[in-house]
Amino acid sequence: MIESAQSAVDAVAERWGVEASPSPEAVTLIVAAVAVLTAVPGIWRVARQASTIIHEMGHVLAAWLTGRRVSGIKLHSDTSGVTVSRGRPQGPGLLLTFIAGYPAPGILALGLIWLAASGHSGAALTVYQAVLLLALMLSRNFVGIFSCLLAALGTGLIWWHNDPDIVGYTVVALGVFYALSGVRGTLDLLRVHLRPRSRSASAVSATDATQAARAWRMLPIPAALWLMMFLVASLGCAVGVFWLLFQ
Amino acid sequence: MRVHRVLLDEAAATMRETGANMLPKYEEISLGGMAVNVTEC
Repeated sequence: MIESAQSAVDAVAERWGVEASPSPEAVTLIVAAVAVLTAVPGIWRVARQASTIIHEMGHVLAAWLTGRRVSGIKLHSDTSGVTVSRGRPQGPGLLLTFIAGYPAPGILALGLIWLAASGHSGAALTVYQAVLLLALMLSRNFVGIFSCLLAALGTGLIWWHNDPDIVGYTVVALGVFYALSGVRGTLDLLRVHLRPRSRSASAVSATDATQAARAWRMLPIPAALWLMMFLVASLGCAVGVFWLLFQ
Repeated sequence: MRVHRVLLDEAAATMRETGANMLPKYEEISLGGMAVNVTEC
């Protein structure tokens, strides 16, 4: 028992320590490929679920950090998701929980590429695997469990195979994907707010920006401003990712 | 075995009185109770 636990720790440590430095040509190729693939509507509709997982994990992390109890996350087949938490019905904790979702993919992208740029691609992929496993454990419906399993297995095989070059390319691809999907997700939210008549009124009243505007009476920031902050945060992370990749 | 009976009219009157005594935020489910303490985002 102790031996198998020790060998598991050794396996994780070995993968954590993998160093890779993809060539500038390979990075350019990966950036172009990810940008083109995510621009294809059919592929984006499926790949967006991976972004939703990180969006919900942003809510989860903020809820935990502010002392709320997280009941779980649910992902839906239309790539929307929901995090259920319990705690005070007003205040900074609730506000932070609401606003943590949209910037989360961008922040993850920045973290992954920062680690990759400093040569720690193995650590970046290990952290990403840990986030996916946590999301899997918190999933409370079939679509959520299936999506998290698929994402964890897809990158988990690469993580386990442990080829430094492939690990390096994968981390770059993940970073670029989450940087782009963070911006695109925020733009989609902006579209919901700008064209409320095309959607139901309840769709607007249930967005993170609208709920954040009502979350803390001491800080009455309107939803439009929260939307702008989401956009600035996701664009800022994307700029940071591309700067780190091509500096 | 003793059977306690409450007339329908008495039960309805009691429910009406209970509702009237409740704080307004618990009368509208979107304003209080589960709706605000269990948050979905």
